[in-house]
Amino acid sequence: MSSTDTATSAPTIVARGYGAGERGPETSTAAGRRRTVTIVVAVVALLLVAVLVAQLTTRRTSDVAYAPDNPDPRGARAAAQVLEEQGVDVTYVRTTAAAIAEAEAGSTLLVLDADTLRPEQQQAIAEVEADIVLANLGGGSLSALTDRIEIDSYTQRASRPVDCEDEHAVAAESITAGGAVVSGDVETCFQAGESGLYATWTEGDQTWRVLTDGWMLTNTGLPVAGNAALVLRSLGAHDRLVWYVPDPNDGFGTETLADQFPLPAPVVLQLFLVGVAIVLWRGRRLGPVVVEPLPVQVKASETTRGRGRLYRRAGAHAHAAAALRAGFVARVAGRVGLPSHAGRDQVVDTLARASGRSHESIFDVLYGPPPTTDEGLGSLTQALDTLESEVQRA
Amino acid sequence: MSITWRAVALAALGLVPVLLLPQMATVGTWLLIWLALVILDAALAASPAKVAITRGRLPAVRLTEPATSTLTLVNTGGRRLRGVVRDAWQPTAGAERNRHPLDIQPGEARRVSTPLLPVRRGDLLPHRVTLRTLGPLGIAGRQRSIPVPGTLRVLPEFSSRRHLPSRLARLREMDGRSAVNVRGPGTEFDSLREYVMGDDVRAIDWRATARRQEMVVRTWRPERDRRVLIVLDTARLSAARLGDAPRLDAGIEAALLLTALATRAGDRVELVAVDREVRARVSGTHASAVMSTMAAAVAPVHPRLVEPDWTLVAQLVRDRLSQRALVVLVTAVEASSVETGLVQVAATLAGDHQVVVASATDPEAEALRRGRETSADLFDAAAAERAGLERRAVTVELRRAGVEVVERLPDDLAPALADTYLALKAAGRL
Repeated sequence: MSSTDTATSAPTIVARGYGAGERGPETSTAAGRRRTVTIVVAVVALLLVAVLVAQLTTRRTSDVAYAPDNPDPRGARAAAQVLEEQGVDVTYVRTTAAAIAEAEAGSTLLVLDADTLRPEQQQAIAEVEADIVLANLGGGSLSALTDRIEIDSYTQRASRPVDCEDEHAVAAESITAGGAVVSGDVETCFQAGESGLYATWTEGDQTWRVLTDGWMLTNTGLPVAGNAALVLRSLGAHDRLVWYVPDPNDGFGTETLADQFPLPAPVVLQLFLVGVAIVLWRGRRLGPVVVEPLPVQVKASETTRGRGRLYRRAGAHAHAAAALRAGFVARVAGRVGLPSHAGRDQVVDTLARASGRSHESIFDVLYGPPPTTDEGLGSLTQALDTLESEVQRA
Repeated sequence: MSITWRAVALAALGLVPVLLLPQMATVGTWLLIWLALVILDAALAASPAKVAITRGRLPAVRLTEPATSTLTLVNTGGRRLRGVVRDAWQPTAGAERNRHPLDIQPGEARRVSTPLLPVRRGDLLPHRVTLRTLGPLGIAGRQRSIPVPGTLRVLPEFSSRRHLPSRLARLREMDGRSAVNVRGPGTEFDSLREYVMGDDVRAIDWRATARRQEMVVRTWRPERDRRVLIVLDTARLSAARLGDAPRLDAGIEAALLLTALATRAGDRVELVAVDREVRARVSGTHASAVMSTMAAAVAPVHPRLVEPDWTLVAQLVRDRLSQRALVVLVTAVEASSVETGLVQVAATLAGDHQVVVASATDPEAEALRRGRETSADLFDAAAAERAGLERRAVTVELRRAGVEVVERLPDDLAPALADTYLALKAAGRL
């Protein structure tokens, strides 16, 4: 194809405006189709660019605290990398369902923040066969997970020497940790009072360990004192480690619609396709939407209202009162036979005769000091209305 | 390309095999079958391009009266055309039932009618005619929108015509045919006839009585063959909405009633709609055709947001009228009428002609003036009072210059203007 062919067959978009009060000319169907093609191409190109940019800028790390892929001070990538170098296969999970699925016998399940889990989640974790390491405990409850320990107080973060017989603790010699301490019918180490920062016990084949201070796992806490030895030995007992950082939005144990009506994936897909068909069926209009060329029309009273608002914003009580008084005089003038050029005295005289009121009261209503407040304006209006009805009755 | 509910049903039918054999392959197979059927059906549908569409004639209708838009479709292709056609109009044309099913054999033609009920005055336009043809299975089809031009002219409603019979009766009373004789400086001598009981004795022509040996009275009739020029202001102030309709519509109603009345009274009526330039003009029309000509002329006139050019109006009046005539300025009396030049021009014209200024007032203004609920209402009332005073000042100035001013609510403007015309005629001031 020669370059001139390309030039003539290139899609062109013709911009057409609507003049005031005129209909836009009908665009031909061919031009409309060309425009549609252009739009589709543009949308697809935009989508491709968006996907490419997203791919290029995605972080391969996270910023979740205690996550094995988080290199920040609060993350735990250092510990995970050391374990992987030692041949431990680290699996990072965020949901209870994934954690219990991965944690088979002969592996280690590390559960962060176990006290924040809901009882159903704790129960599900208590039933796994893997060895369990609980880390970073706080003020929550562990009652559904285990009844062997309980969190009973807190202590300052400080360096503490080993004070028990556990082999991992002995290997660590001393640790720097603090926070919650646990007690119970188990072996506790690095004690503060009756409770300890580290606890371990066995239930059948299953070994439980508790590292109450999650800081020991973090990139900052790991190299301090013997923390690394204690952490790495506790987590590296097996060559498979499931690293579970609970997601607060995990809906484990709560019933969803999909739980109540379990459908195989192909059926769901087919239903989705039916939905798409409905969209295509209803979405195709029989011709374009027709718009009305709207005329210019403004409510006539808008100008009056606008003027009233101006008076109000300016606080022009005197000005408004003058208008109300002048309007009143102009209205009653014809009724009581006042000439349009009548002076104050003549107006007051005539109205006094027509209404039977004293000259002073009428002078006060019509020519008294102008009001300065909303209340003053209100009472003046009331006085004018009363006077008008009296004149009309006369 | 479009699909119908049958295509959706076909997709839903796929749930049966998928439930029996829940595998992704089943879904994929059904999807392929579905796509193949849809594409095949669309390909077998009659081409919407091979249809010749013509629009029938659209006679002008009066607002609120029904009209009919007819389309003739000729199947010029080789396939049987089944489907649906939509005759789209702008919404105010009131084309509610505008979709029609089609079934046309090759070479045959069909006519479809869409009832219209216009709710707006002016030239209403159709949009495109959309044709959707269906394939033999009726699950998919092809669609095309074709412009088929046409215009429906919607004339003003002329609801004020209900005031016409009473005004015509008054006109007959003024006429010599009736028992009542009107004597005035401007009435013309009509004929002599025999005295009947009840005639004014002052109308007896003694000279003719002496000649004829019986009592003879003179009869009079109002002047005829006077000229009336209606100037319709279509500028900024005519766009103001009073109640539900713009001020211009009230003016058009008044102009139409005056035209009907003056034409029956034997006067010649001309009209010009003007803002900065002439938008419509009716002149030199025969009495029998003037009503329809005028309605058609003002139908497409719409307000424009420009200042009126009253100097142009003065120029037009001087060009059109050489002798004394009635000039009716249908506009708005506002405080700004002084600045725009209405007052000066009306006063100048009043020297040569009888000038009437007709203005529709805002029905809400009175309610605003009486508002007493809140302090904001009081300020609004003061503003309404001030606007009323300004209008009154303009009116006084116009009256001082010898101009008749008719200020009424929109619905009352037409009969009030007709009454003013009759009063002027009775007084012989035309």
